[in-house]
Amino acid sequence: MGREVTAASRSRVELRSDLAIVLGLTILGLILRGIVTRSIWLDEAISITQAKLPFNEMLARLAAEDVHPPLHHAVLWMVVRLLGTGELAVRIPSIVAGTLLIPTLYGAGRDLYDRRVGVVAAALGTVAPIAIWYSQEARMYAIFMLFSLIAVWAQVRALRTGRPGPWILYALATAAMIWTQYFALLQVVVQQAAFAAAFWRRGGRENSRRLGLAWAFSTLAVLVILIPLLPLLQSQLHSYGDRSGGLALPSQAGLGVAQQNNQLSVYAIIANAIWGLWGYHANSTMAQIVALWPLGMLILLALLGRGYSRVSALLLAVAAIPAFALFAAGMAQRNLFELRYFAGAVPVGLLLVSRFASSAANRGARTLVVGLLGITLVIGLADQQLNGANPRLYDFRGALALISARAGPGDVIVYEPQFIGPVVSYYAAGLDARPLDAGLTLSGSRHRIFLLGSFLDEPGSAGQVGYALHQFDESHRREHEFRRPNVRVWMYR
Amino acid sequence: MSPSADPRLLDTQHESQQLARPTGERVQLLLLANVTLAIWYFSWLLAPERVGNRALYAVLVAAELFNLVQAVGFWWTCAGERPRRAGVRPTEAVEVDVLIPVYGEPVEVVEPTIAAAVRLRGAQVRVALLDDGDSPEMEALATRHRVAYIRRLVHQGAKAGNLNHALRLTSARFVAVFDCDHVPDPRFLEVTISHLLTDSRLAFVQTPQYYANAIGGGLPAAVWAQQALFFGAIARGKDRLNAMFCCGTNVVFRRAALEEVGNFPEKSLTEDFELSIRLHAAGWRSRYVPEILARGLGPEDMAAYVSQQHRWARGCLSALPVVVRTRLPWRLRIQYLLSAMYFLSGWSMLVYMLLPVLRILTGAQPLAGASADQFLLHFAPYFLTCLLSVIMAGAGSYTFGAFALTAASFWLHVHASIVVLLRIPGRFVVTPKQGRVGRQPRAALPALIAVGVMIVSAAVGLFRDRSPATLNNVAFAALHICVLLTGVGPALQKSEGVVNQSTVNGRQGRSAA
Repeated sequence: MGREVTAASRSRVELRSDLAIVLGLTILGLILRGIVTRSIWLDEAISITQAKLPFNEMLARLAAEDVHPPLHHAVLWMVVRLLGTGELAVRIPSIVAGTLLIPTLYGAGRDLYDRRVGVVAAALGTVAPIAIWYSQEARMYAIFMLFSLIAVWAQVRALRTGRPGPWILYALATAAMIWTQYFALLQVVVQQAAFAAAFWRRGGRENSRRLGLAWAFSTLAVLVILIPLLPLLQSQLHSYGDRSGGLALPSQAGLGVAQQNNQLSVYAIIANAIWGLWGYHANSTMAQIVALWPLGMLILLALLGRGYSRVSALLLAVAAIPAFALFAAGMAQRNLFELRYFAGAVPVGLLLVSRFASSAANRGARTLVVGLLGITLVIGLADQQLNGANPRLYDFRGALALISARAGPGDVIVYEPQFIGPVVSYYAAGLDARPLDAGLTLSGSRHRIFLLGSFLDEPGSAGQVGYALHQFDESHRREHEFRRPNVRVWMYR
Repeated sequence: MSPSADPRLLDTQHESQQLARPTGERVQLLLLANVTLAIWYFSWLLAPERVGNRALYAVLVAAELFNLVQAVGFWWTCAGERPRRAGVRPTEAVEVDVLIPVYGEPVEVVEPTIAAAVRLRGAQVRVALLDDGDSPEMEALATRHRVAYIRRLVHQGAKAGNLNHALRLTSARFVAVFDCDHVPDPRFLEVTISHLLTDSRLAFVQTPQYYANAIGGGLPAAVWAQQALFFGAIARGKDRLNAMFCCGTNVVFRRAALEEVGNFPEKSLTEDFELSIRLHAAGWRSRYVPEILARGLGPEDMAAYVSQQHRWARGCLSALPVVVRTRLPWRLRIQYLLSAMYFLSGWSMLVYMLLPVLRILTGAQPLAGASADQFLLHFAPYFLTCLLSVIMAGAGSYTFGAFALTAASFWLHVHASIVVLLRIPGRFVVTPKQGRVGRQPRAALPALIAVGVMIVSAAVGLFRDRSPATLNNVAFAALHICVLLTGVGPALQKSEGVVNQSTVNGRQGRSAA
């Protein structure tokens, strides 16, 4: 009796101290996510443009021009109405979701493994570069990560306890995940396979029928919640087909290390795994990190004899199978293999990494592994956020601020490529901005012309900008030239 | 060692279950994947345009082909197993001579074995302590336990000679042999003799050589993890193929079979291995029972491990010509070749360590016409499924520590094969049963030198340039450095020389619970 009381009180003390740690980590995570250093990215600018439309018009635009489900857009639509279109305002849904990921990681880690894994997962989630990156983007990926983790956690709880609560949570999280990102269906397939495996293992036993019923009801509930999504999906598929399978948008930058001769290479898998844990970095850095793949063999060998649990197997499947499926799809259409499309793997992967790191044999080794991991994540975060050589950092804000500071009435911004129009509109709403290929009458103008070029590593854009520079140099005087990360501005009069 | 602290007296049900866990259909499916991915990798590797530096390419291909042969052998062996029913229970009084050879081991190590041997059930047991150390303490021990004490005037033929001498003085129909540190379970004969009674052409029944001191972790745990893979899926597979060989202890023989082949061969360092070849060549069968029925002590320190492994390597490699010469069914011949050739695997490890060093220092590399990602694309799936098959076939018993220890022993295989090739005579060295106090860096010196060479070459490489190609080779060197340092770790730690008391007590607590 006395021993039980002692254990219970110790457990309460541990829980209280854990909660204090997690609260501290969550506040730190909120601060890190709130310090937005990045300019609005193209996709964000498009989402903001869409969210500024009336709701029905936004949905119509989504159906005709977009490829994503509408949950994040709907949330953003409300945020824009309530808080406006400021950088921070439009990113609030992602910041909130990304911050909530920290206590969720703790809860899932503690529940699926033990409190040590929970604390380590929360700590790693606080500084995980990629979790922060997508928490700072007015897109759906931070929300996708959160729902993905909740769906897996709820599934394990549902299988363990059989209680209605986890089953309901699983159904809601799963449906919300699909309403957020269609590629979540890959995770759903894996999780359904896990239910089937659990059902098969329990075959013939008393609780197998109960599991079967709960599984059927939860699947039915997910399907019912998805029914309203079907007309939109149908329209999007139709429009996608009409566009011959793509928008006039670039794939995410930074794929240099992941492809050979314009084809996806196996290095893409390693590059995405590195991005998933340590964030986005300069191509040269990525080439160096990817070359260290033999150390991955060491990690695999270190797992020998460690045993595995069904929970770990499920987490591994949820993290890896969608990624491999998209890699296979990426062989046919390169831009499908993108970390953001299987961003659900990030929190699940963090849980697995936390489990691995905190299961070292002794305390010293554990501290060393967790400490080293944490330090590398912080270094990765700093490099991702601050290194201008990061090919995913496009400082449109900086470039257009420089232009705005110098531009007067009648001055013109011409930009290339055309698809950066929404972001130019976002940062230079009051200025006359037009795409380069829209044509510009050069003779007789006494106003300034700002030529803004980006994506200059792509031959098309580089060629267009080069030709324009040649023309401008002949007819105008080049006054100044600015360079911001991945954006260049030439000022003419 | 007090009886309460002796790990050999603890329960081993979990370990037994792990050894006996069937490989199942999942492993068979995985083996199919292994074959497919091996073809995928080797068809890429052996393409003519892959040849870079000719000499290095030849060496790399040789190492890879050697490993492939070993891997295919492993897959073939583990591809299935034959469920064995227990044989008939003896209806007559069966006599068994239980022979326990000793050679200078401490009394406290031997006494539990003697005490357990006299309590063996299922037969009329006649225990004999075969003392090659001419020790009065052993004689007193034999007297104390009322067992026969056999001493030789002329000590020749090492353990085999000792056993043969005892065989001439004893007469029971069956002969059980235990190393002096292996404490038999009372059921040992009940489980094993029945097989010999059921099958009249069965020469011997082998059981696992379990190291009870593995529970203390460290070196014995790593050594047992190596053993566990063998005494699990591999030995069960060998049993299916009637290719299980005798491992020198925890085994019961039919005397008639031993006599037919002239008893234990005395000129071999691994008399058990050569004896098995002779028995199989004479048409006798063997059987393996995957149940821990005796608990012994594995090497406690690096010097003991090196001594044991070097003897095994020399013995098995010197048996290669015997395997080739002897008339054996093809599957048995291949099984023996695979087992003996395992002790050449240190050469492939040496090649893998040398290649990044040479690439960093000289720029020479074995492969050409392929980028690193193409190599990875073809190699990684093969590597992963090989690893997975070891994990699944071994039921998770094979650990990183075991792998690292094997890798760090590469030089033993190299040295042993050179010694065998040059026909330098060796002598039977008994594996010490108790650890020595202190560090033993000399026992791991070649591996430490290899670590030093790789550290220097990695530093030189990083100093010269940090291109992805150099970093890739530095990462390979780092991989080998980490593996080797893990493997030689026990040699660099200050050993206490005895099994960790607290671990044993903890284990006893768990067993009681």
